[in-house]
Amino acid sequence: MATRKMHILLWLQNMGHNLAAWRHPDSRTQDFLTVDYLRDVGRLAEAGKLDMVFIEDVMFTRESGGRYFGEVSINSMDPSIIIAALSSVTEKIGLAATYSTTYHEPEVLARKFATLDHLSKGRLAWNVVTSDPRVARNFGATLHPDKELRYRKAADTIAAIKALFDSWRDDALVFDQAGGRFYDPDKVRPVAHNGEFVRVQDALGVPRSPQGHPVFIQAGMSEWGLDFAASFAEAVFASAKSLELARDYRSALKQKVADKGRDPDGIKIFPGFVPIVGSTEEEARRKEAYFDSLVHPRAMLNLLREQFHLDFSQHSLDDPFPIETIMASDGYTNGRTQVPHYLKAIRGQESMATYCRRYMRSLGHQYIVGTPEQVADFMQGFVDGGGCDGFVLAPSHIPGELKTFIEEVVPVLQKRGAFRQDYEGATLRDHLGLSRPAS
Amino acid sequence: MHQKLFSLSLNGQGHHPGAWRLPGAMPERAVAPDFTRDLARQADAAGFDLLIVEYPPRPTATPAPNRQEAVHFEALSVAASLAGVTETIGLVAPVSAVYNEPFNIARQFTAFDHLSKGRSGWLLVPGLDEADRPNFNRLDGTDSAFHDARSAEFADVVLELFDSWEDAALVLDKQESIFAHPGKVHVIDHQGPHFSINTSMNAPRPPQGHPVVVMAPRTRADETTAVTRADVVLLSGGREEISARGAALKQVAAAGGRDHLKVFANLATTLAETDEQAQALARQLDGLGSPISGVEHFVGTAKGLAIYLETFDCDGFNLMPSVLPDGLAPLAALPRKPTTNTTLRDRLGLPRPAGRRS
Repeated sequence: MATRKMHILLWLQNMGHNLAAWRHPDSRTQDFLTVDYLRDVGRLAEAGKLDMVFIEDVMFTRESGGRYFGEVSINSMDPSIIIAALSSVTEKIGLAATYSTTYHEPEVLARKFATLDHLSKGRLAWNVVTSDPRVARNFGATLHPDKELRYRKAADTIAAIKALFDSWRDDALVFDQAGGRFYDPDKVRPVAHNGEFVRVQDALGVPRSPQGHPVFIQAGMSEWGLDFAASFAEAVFASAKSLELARDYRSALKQKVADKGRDPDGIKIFPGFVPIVGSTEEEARRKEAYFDSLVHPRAMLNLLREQFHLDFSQHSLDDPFPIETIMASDGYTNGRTQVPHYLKAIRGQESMATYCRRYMRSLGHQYIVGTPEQVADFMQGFVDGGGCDGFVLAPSHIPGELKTFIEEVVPVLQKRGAFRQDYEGATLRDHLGLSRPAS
Repeated sequence: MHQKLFSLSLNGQGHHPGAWRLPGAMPERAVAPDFTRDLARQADAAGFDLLIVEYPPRPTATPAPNRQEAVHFEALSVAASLAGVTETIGLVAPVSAVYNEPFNIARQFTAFDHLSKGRSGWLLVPGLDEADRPNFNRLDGTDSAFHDARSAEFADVVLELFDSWEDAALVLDKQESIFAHPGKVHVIDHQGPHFSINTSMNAPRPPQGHPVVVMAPRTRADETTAVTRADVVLLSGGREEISARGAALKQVAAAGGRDHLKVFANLATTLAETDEQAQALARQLDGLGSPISGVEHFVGTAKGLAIYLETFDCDGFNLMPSVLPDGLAPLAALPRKPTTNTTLRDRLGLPRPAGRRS
């Protein structure tokens, strides 16, 4: 099978994907909130020629039953501000901000993202989300709109925002000094968007940005999410349990995209991916054990509490997994609590600690422990097998494991022709092979 | 005379509407991020205390074709982009209290203040602009009085949210595995006429406690909001007017227990080697675009400007060069260079707001 070039995106989560990454001796707890840290991580990712840095958005504080999680890294700073700061300290790498359509004015979003695409010279992506119900209390919303309503509002919002982006023709700025025309008013059209939720009737205050539109990303796996993604997304973050499931998902999504009258190649699919890389398999396993050990038992119990909506503080982590208790709980009965199928299948034959470790290692994303060659094999297998177009790399620890990946795995992929030697274009659309929307 | 504070106002190719048409100007830089970064670096090196990114927060209709305001970036993103390319200068962005939700703005400034290591400032822009109606459903059925009241409450909620985390909440104890002390992260419960919020911020308290709050009050309602919440006010007008209005605002603020309010005079500047050359430049600019209005405009030499500034009764100046980048270099001798890296609050001599205590 021919080698396909893959894309690699960095999922930048504070000091790493591991719940207790911040406890690692090399974690930069002294300056992880500053631009100094972002600059170093951004430039490291850029040295590895990665496609983009992706910032997720958690708009609430991790808690359960009103108790805050003291032992996990509970801060999540505004993604647009992080991206703005990164735009001036990196040169080539794409920059993706997660932002909600539920609690921002469409005009505000359009202005922010058009500005960020200008500031980054065409490197912006927007991961569109509609927000978790826990966010409503930030906004005095007495009732968080249900999923169906949120997606309808999101679709309306995105249509309005695209119209705002397109209210300026690409050549509207003329800078005619002699004639005294900064821009040509004939090339700026008022928007006439009167949607179910959103009314926008004027042009945007920002000329069309280098990419025309930021690259639209979507991460929903639900039926609604899939339909939503098919309508407008150019990149999708998906979880993939196996190559077969990934392949099924990919062809279903591409079919949906085609049904909407779009080019199926205009959407790229990236599953989350957590590699633990060692120079030998044994070393990689030792590393895995070390990352497992970083997570304090208290954090594991809180994690279970958050996931299953039950207080496990009276349990020992060595107890068998209390599947019966969970399935007898109100949360399970009323559908709020989801229980993974395999947990039901093994019926408490493993301990709570074993479950927690497995869950924490990847939070449902692809997980591989091995040598650089093994990791590269795995990645290529997925891409060449038609499962995806690349990966959202979630290093267990940043910068340590990111550095290892870039120094050890990237060269293997490059040597095999599976990853770029250098950036070939200037914009994120260039990196991802996506076309620029016409104005 | 005690040492004055200096702010530089960045506004595209300069504050004069004709600046972009000057021979030698490169108006295409209006959308070039490097242009703003270079100016910010220069202002930082010159020792300006703060820099105001003057993209008005009001997303008004597209302006007349000869106006550079056609490029109307979102100021907070621009200011945040300068954090990594400057060292000591304060970075101030105008953000409206009308088009946003308090939580979103508190969260953005929390991030900005951390990233910039305590150099952020919020130019709070309250109140309604009728020109904005076409793009915001939320303005339907509302009037100025409604938005004046809402803006004041908006500012209160944002400031309350900054205090959600106690200063000592971030523990980062690797040994005991305590990232943050759960008992020191508080829910903000604000129930008011315009906002009901019941939540905690999901990031540590900003290094400055609160970003520096700047206002440029235009109406009586704005002044009422400013005396109880702002740290710095920017005033336009002549010397006497600024002196009288500044003293009155300080008095009201002090009566409310806020005796730290700083008054900055807005001042446009057109400078050259000689007075004659400066006058000629000003005439040339007025021939290329409508004259600067609404703010005092000094035309002359850098030396003359220094003497002129001595006659003001205020804490500092917000200088608005009529032409950029050329208008910046002649101003570089005015500010006092900082000797240490501090937060913007320290630099301006402002107290750090006390946060919550357990």
